[in-house]
Amino acid sequence: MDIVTKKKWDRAAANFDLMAGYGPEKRWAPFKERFFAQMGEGRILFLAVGTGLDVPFFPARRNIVGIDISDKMIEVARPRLDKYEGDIETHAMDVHDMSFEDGSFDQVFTSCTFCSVPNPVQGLAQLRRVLKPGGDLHMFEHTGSRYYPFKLMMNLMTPLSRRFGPDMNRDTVSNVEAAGFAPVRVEHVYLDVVKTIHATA
Amino acid sequence: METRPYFVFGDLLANAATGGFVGLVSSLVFGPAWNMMVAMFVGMAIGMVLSGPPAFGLGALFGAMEVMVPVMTTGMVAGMVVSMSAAMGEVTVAEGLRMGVLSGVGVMVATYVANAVIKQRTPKWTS
Repeated sequence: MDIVTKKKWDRAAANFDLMAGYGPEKRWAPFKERFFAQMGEGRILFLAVGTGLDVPFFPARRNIVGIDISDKMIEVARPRLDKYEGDIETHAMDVHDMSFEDGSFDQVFTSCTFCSVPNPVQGLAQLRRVLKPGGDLHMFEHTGSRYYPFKLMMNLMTPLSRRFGPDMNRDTVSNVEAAGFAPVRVEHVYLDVVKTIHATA
Repeated sequence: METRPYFVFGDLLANAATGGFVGLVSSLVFGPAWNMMVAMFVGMAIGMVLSGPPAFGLGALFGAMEVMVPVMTTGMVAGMVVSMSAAMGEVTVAEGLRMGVLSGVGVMVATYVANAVIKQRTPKWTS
């Protein structure tokens, strides 16, 4: 497990909801409702659990396995996880080094995760490994922008933001392709910065 | 385009307040003794640094990237506009504040337009 990354998110756990729990969640709520409505009947891998802010958007009666590198985050998420009306189990696990067998899941959902995974292509390749052939990867992510001045801003912000949270300039769409997924659809939620990505294993 | 009043008001407040703050500080830092090009780059850098805390703080109330991206752009633009103006001739604190607020409102409107245009453009993948 990547201890440096784990410690960063362990430190962030106690105050994470102060930054992310109100404005961002309220603003993204309509998009996340539509996004998570795509959760199907099979076995679903969700990452990263974080403090469980996404759990209220999950459709009921799904079979979900959630992972997060930080067990402190999962502890904070516990009350939200307990309220979920369906099957949900959680594991403190690094996406680069998951213990699930190949082809274990029908769908994978990520939410604002691959801005922070240290080696995103390797992490995405692991997701492809645990997905059944043809299984769906659905991502709700913020990325860098290809448009100035936003691109410049986000490149300049990243060295600072990386110290306590996510990178601001990831090219996650290209990373998904580099990990071997077959592209299906990208939709922009805000500028070309916040987006949903659908690909298949 | 964002139409929910809470977020539209939040975007306006965040950009106008940050622009005003950066403009005010820039009017105190820069003056006619500055070379205009040097003032521009230093002003942009100061604006970006000063806009960092409000970008993260107000983002907690009004949205993450939807606040951080325009507010930090506002800081950069307000710092650039006021520093260059001050290098060309004396800019009072009130004028710096006004120019900063107007820069913030301008960036917010420009970002709303850019958002509408970019969302209509075909993304990298289409189904």
